[in-house]
Amino acid sequence: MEAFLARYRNVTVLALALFAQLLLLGYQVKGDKDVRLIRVWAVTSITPVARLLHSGHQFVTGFWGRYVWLYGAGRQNEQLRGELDRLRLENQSLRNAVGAASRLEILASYRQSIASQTLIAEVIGTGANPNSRVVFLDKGSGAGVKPGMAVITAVGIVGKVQAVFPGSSLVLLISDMHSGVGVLLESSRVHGVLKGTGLNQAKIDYVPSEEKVSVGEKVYTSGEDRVYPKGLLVGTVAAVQPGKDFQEITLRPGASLNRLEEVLVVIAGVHEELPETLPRPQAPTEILAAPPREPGKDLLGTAPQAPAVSSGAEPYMPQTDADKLKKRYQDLGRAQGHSFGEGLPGSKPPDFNLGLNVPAGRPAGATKPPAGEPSPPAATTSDPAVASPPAQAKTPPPAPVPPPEAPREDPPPQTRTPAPAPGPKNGQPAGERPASSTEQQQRPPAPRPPDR
Amino acid sequence: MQASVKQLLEVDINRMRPLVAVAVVMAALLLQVFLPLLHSYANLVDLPLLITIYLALLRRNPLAGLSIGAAIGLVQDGLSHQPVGLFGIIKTLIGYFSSSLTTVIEVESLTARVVLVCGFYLVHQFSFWTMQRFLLVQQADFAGTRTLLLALVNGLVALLLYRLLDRFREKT
Repeated sequence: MEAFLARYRNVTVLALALFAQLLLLGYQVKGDKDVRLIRVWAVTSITPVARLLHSGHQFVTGFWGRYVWLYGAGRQNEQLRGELDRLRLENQSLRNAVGAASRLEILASYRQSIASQTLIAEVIGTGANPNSRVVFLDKGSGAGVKPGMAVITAVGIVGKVQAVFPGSSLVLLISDMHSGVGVLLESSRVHGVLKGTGLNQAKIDYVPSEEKVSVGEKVYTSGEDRVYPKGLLVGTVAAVQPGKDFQEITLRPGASLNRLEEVLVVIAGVHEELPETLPRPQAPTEILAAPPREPGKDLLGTAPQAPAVSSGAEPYMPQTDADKLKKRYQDLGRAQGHSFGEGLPGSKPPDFNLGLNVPAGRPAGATKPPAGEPSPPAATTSDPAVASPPAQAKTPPPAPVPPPEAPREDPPPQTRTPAPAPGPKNGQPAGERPASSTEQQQRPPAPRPPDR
Repeated sequence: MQASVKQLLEVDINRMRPLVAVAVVMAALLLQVFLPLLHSYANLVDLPLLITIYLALLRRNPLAGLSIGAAIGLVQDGLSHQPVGLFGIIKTLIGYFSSSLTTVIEVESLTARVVLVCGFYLVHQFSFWTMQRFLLVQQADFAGTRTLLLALVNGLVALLLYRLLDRFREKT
């Protein structure tokens, strides 16, 4: 055995070494474990030296590159400076492009939000006279620009077109001393005239001293100057000084008039209401007591009409003067056997001067409708707005009845009639308010008013 | 006759001091870790393998050769992500057979060194691929042409490296 080992010693040791390492491999692979000891020793013995080597290499290469190998550094420096200048210019150009795109985006968005038809134009220059506040636009008569057109931006009006050339136009800014704009204060709705001062600010004239104007209040165009459509933002009140008859109000224009770049030329202006979010003036209104009425008659001299309801609801009472007048015409038509809306053009209308001869105890509203006219439906609901008018509508005294040609312009808010519909709708005559489904159930079908 | 030749060779053997040998091994492992940071082409040269072959040829003793190979291989395993023992087994074999060949052929000539390095490099790569593929059941490809070219590259690098290392040898 000893002779065998002595003869094959090398091979035996090799086999043992291989076997041991194979066992090591098998231990790691099968057990999914790691021989951490060997790795720690290897890494711990190598990495400190590697770190030193890396530091030394960095030092040597840094020293060599920074202090020794400077061939071509000057030329490279000049080249890099040129590159830096070029990149700075390019950077500035790109920043300008981004800014212009952002401004145009805002302008286009604002252009879609307003009703007026506008044209985007760029400011290409200012006036030669340092005292005048004018700018030149790149759009002229060729693009449809005409003198007197308003020029605006998304943050405020700019001015109006004063002169037009084939490819450009001259705009008089609102800050020019010769400029004037009809304006409207936001909260008080007081009208005034904006005049330029020749500086970056303007002033508002003709605002009475008793009106309360606060700093920071927004100012809109009133549309009275026939140049700027109503409802465009002009700016904000910068300062208010009391005056003898009128206040001295300084306005800070919303648009930066000395940094204009892109503007909108109003080709076709449309007046707009001021934003809905603005607080409406709620002036306290004093309501007088009702005057004594003639028994059995209303202010029109007619007997009160009985409700056309058969249920236990309260009788229908015309609430507005227009309703009363309409009711009177209806009763006159019924009394004379006239059916509104059925005669040919030129046919004889009922005589509205005859008056009503309604028997006592029989309300006009209870007259039998002519044949072919539907009878009023019975009220089935108890809508307080119709069947039971609110106390405000009952208690206020009826205002003096204006003639039909001059209806009252500012009825009390509680009884304000909505604007008439633009045209007949669902068989309803023009000029009548479209009734809701509840109202249609409770109110009798209204015949057409007589043709006037 | 064979014994006399061996005695003659032993007389001319130029030994390397143990400390220098350890330093050379450490330097080889260090450069194998560090040089690829400077240039990716440094990965093409297997310095631990070249040092294993060199020291094994220098010792002319199979036991010493396999010990050197096992030690270098295990440290190289420790610095890699492979299971410990993969490089150890291969370099143990390389060290053993390198030392064994010194009794058969003259390894001091440059041509013989280049041929030996190329051959052992191919054996090393093939053994590595075989063990990785069949023993560890890992996905691995063996690119024959590339391995052949790398064997030549390592042979040429070995020429220069061995010339450099010969300067640290001392006559005993």
